[in-house]
Amino acid sequence: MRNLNPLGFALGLALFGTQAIETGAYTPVVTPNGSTLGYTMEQGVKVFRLSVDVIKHEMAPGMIINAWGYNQRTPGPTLEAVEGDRVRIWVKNNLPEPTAVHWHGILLPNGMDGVQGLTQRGIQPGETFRYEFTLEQHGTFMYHSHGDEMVQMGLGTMGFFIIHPKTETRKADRDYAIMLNEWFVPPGASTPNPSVMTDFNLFTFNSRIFPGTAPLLARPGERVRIRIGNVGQEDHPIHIHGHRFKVVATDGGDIPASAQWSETTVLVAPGQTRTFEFTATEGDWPLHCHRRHHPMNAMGHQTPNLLGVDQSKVEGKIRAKVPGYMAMGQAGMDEMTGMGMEGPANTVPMMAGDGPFGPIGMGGMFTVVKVHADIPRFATAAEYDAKVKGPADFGWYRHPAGTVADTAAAVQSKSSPGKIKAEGANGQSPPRSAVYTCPMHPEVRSDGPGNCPKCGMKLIPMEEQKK
Amino acid sequence: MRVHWKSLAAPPGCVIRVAAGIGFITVAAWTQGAAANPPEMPPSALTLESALRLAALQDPEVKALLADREAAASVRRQERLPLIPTVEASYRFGDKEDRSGLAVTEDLSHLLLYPLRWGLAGARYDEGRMRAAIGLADRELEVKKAFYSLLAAQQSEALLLARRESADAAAELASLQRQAGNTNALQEDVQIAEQQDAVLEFERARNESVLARQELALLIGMPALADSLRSADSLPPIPYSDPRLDDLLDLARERGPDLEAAKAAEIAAGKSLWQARLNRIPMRAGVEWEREGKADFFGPKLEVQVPLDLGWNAASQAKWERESARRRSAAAEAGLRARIACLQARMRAARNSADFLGRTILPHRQAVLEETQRHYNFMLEGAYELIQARQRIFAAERETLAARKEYWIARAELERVLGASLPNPDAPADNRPARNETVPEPAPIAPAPSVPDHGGH
Repeated sequence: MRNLNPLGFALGLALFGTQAIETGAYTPVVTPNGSTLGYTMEQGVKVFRLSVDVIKHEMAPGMIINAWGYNQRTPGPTLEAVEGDRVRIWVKNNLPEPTAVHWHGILLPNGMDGVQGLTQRGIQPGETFRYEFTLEQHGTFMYHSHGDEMVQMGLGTMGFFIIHPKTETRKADRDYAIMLNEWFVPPGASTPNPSVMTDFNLFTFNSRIFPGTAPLLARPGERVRIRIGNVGQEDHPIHIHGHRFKVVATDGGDIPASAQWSETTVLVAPGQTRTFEFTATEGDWPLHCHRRHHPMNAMGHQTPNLLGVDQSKVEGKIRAKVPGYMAMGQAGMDEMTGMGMEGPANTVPMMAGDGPFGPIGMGGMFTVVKVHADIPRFATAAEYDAKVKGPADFGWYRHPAGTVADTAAAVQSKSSPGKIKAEGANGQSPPRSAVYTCPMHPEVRSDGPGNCPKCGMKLIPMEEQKK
Repeated sequence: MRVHWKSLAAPPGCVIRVAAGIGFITVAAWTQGAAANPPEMPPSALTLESALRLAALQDPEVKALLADREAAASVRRQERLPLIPTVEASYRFGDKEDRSGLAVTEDLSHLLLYPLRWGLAGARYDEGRMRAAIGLADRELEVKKAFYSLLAAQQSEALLLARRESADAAAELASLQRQAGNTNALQEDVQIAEQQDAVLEFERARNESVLARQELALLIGMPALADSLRSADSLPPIPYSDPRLDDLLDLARERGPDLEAAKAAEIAAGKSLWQARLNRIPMRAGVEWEREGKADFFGPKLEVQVPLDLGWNAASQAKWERESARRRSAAAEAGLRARIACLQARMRAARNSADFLGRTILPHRQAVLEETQRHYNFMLEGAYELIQARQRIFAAERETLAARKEYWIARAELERVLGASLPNPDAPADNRPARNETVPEPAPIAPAPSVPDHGGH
């Protein structure tokens, strides 16, 4: 192990950190909201440079947390290599405590396993260690802290290490990697509490929460591969709409075709990776964890259950003493979406995000797989990272006429206000639906103008309400 | 209020009006024989000034004190008469002849010691007048305390009513939850228990209001109107600063009724001692006419009453009474500083409490309420937490009321000791400059405007 000159390390990182990855042999893996780490070649060795840092990380627009990550990011940049490569990874510790990096699932010499105290001494703050080994397998693997794991991984020190086969027998048109994790950040605060064991309030795809998660893009008919990694605390059943897929690999290796079966949901437990593939069908398809609370952002778990409670007589009495009070929760929580009420600082609403038909009302482990004919191809993962940020990027799917669920009358008339019309001959996007709501009762929704049935006020367009 | 007792010593038949001013109360005193017609005053619009005015006019105790003052004046008038002759008429039935007689005598010491007697009558009148004035000042203090207590009770009642209403709403919401099957009885009982506490506190506050009204009604002589007695005023905010101790001390020495009463008593005792010393052997001289049968006797008469102790005991008693008066006067002076300092300390403590509540606690609790509202908007906190945050503001407001009440009562007690109103407060503590601004020096005492002296002595 040798300590690098810090200046040389930084210079190398700046010069070579963003080098484009060779794309001929395999489809570059895109880590939505993430990045791919470039490498340099030194005498036939692929050299990667990592630093372990204390960082500020944006979970979604409006929420920034104090985190720990690699190369100023969480998850850390994805390392890509090819089976048979010799890799050398420099790790510089900028944390306030010792660390080590474990290469999860990779077969390597014991002394490179990265277990602090067992296979190596801890990388002290300021020190740089060298890991070097030959990749003897291919698959989807991970790297993460293995010193004070509870804190360091709880704060985001994790990333993908993807090893492509020497010969890609089944090349995917799109290849995505999503790292799962859970956090507890007290609403209004900025620092996750890594001591929390079960009562997490934020669930992330690549350390992002919806509506801050970048969509996965594809064209109809393309073969899409999605790699899910989990070094968090909980199981996550990852589900995709509108598709059946087959799990083609685990962190232990490829699954023979004869052993594969169709699924729409795959359970990824802590420590596991699961890779599945499917042929993309056009549309905007949610991809999310199917634990009900996980595609939601922070909410109070001790708040009173007001479902079915008629507050019409008591609401005014409470409001007389607490002027900002508004009855909520009696008809479910959908009314929260689109209300635009002020919340604690640095906090994203429990249900957020807007779609073409109104508020989507999701959060946490939720993203959209957009399969449109006009989705571009990206030469590099870096190009994708630069151009794809949020769920509204690249527009919404234009539904063919008669294929959108609506009231029977609307379907029969083939003209339904409040939904996107069929794509016109000029290919322009149809206008967004005009949904009206009451300034005082946001739970009231109407497809057209009118008066609020509760208070009689004139309804206004949702867009105006948000303003 | 400043009771200008000198103005009360008016000749009979005069109506005295003392000009009203800020910090100064009109005392309209009708003498005996003039009907007192209290002004029309709706009991729901009572102010401190009107309460003092009504007390001056209608309180039987005040009337008794005024009568005491008149009695002292009568005694003085009598004592200052130059001659108080005694006429004796006698008739004796005799065995042989009846005897009748008529004598007119005058106390010689009364005559010879007239200048001393004149001074003593004046001193005794001052003493009596001061006693009445102290009684009036004490009565005024009681009225002020009762008025401030009424204001505090009214405002406290309103606060606790608001608190109760919010607790009612929380309990109602809990019951609705229970009816919808969302909670169990235990969870509902938590809110019901809080509501019951709020009801109890409100009822206590209401009772305090009733008692405060009763007390004030009694003091202003309108016990029948106790139930409808209200004031539209609120307890004023506490002034930014108070006068210096030394200035207050000077004023108290100059105008304080207790000190003046003690001095008047000392003076009277001194003059009494002289009289006792000089009048140890009473003598009366005059003329006498006596008829016995058919014989008439007419001539001067001299009576000498020689007490066995030659009057030493009376003189000794007078001496010790003077000594006692002196010591009481000295004690009054010596204790004045301590009394004023104690009252200032009470005012300062109340101000500090109100200041901390107004600058720190209340803004913080308001901020907590607003932040709780934001959490509620995002369904991170529930309605009950929101209501509780509001309840904590009510509690802080009630503490502020208590501090204000304590301040104004202590201030009234201080004015009682000074015998003068403190100057009108400047900027109230709630609006005073920010912390980093220089606190100005306490304002020196400005004496209350003088009033024409109607004392005809």
